[in-house]
Amino acid sequence: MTTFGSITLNLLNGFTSSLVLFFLTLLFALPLGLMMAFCSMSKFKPLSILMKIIVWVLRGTPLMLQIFVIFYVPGILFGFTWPIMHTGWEWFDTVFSTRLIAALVAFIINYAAYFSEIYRGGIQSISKGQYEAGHVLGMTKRDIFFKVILLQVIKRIIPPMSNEVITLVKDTSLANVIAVTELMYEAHLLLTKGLIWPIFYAGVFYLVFNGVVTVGLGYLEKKLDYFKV
Amino acid sequence: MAFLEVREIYKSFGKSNILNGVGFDLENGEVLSIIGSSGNGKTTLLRCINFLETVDSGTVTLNGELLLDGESSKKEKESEIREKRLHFGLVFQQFNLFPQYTAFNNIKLPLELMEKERAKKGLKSLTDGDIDKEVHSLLKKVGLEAKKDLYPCQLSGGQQQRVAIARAMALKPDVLCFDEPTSALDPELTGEVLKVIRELKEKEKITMIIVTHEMEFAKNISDKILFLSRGTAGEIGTPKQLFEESDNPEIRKFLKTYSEEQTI
Ligand SMILES: Nc1ncnc2c1ncn2[C@@H]1O[C@H](COP(=O)(O)OP(=O)(O)O)[C@@H](O)[C@H]1O
Ligand SMILES: [Mg+2]
Repeated sequence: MTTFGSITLNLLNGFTSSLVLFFLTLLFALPLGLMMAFCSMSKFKPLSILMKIIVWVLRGTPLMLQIFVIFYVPGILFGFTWPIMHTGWEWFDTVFSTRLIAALVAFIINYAAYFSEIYRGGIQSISKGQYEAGHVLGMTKRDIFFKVILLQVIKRIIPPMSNEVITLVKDTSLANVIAVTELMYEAHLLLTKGLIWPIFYAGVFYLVFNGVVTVGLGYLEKKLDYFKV
Repeated sequence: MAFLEVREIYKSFGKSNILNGVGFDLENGEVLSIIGSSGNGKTTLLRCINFLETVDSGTVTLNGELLLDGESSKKEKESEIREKRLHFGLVFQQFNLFPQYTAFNNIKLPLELMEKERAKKGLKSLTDGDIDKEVHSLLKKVGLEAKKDLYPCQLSGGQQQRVAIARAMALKPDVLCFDEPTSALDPELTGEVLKVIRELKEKEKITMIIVTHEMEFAKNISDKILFLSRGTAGEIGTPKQLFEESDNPEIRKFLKTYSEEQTI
């Protein structure tokens, strides 16, 4: 029961949830962050002020607190419970527990706030001349953004985004506080049974995964080396 | 009625009045140069004509069509302005090429988007092959066919500006504007850009408005010169009238500073 193989399986089981949290957070927080960035840059003052306050709160309070709030408060106040999955596909229904979904929502909102600030900085760092050149060439605002500005922004924000993404890999362990069965949950469980080494073994999982992420982001950065902004 | 009529343009930023009733007429194929000290509103005037700034009042009429009217300009929709500004092209001091596109694709992008829009509206539009041919011929006009696959960061300043000129011509504007096209260039690179502009006048008969500090160039290429000075509507005349015959003390002083700079 405590063989290397079975413990590896235990940790891998937890790691699956960590990966699900990681990838789904990115998948939703990246576009949501962009929308939030547009809101905070909006010329419509109430919207931009509201968004700045939201971002300030999300970045100024612990992610752990936000996980608690999202998991417990809707139930206590409104009787809202996070949905239980009934797809009949067992793996899916187990991984996507109500706890994981609540944690995921907290991660998405929190990370979108961080990303929005990075987007905003990136968008505002692009020279006005790029927009003006697009305008005088008869391009629509939409085309200017998607065909001219966006790639330059992406190139600019890869370094700060990389930092956030690497932090996210480690932050997935915070889901542990509402007992999501992710990697640290499994390692901690073993620790309480008196097994010390799996906690280090879990550390290796994070390290290796972060290594892969770093290499991937480095590759992306290199891919955009052909132009200067 | 002249081809281009710019009338009584007023523009202020906050409390400072930058343009005070500036106006001029330009015939098709003519070249107007705008000179004057730094901060006198030369860039602002070009930006107003290109709808990058709104004017406080004044009008711009092209070919009899009223394009800009200070009274109503602030209420206009983006799509209306977009259509009107296509009558004009603008070449910037800092080139403003799109860094992620090659020289070729910098020119192709606006053309492609325009043709797509025309096709969507059911209008006659160029095929992709036609667009490529057009881009090639534009690159040829500025002598950069060989550099077509290079990115802006791989080109010299002079080459970048020539690409920017080709790009500004891609949508066949009626009037091409230049804002100090050689001011950001090393002195040895200004010649190639000025040569391209001269060829546009001689071979293509393009109507141009050029803000420049290159006095010799302005004198030689221009049909008219507009001298802008602070707090006035400026003075307009032929190169001969302004450079040789004017007794406006401000113009004399301005030209004197320049000729001194040239001889230093
Ligand atoms: N967007 C702006 N806001 C406030 N002041 C401006 C703005 N644009 C230009 N100005 C001012 O208008 C004056 C004229 O500027 P500009 O047209 O660039 O002059 P020039 O091109 O002749 O050097 C300058 O004093 C400048 O500071
Ligand atoms: Mg200027």
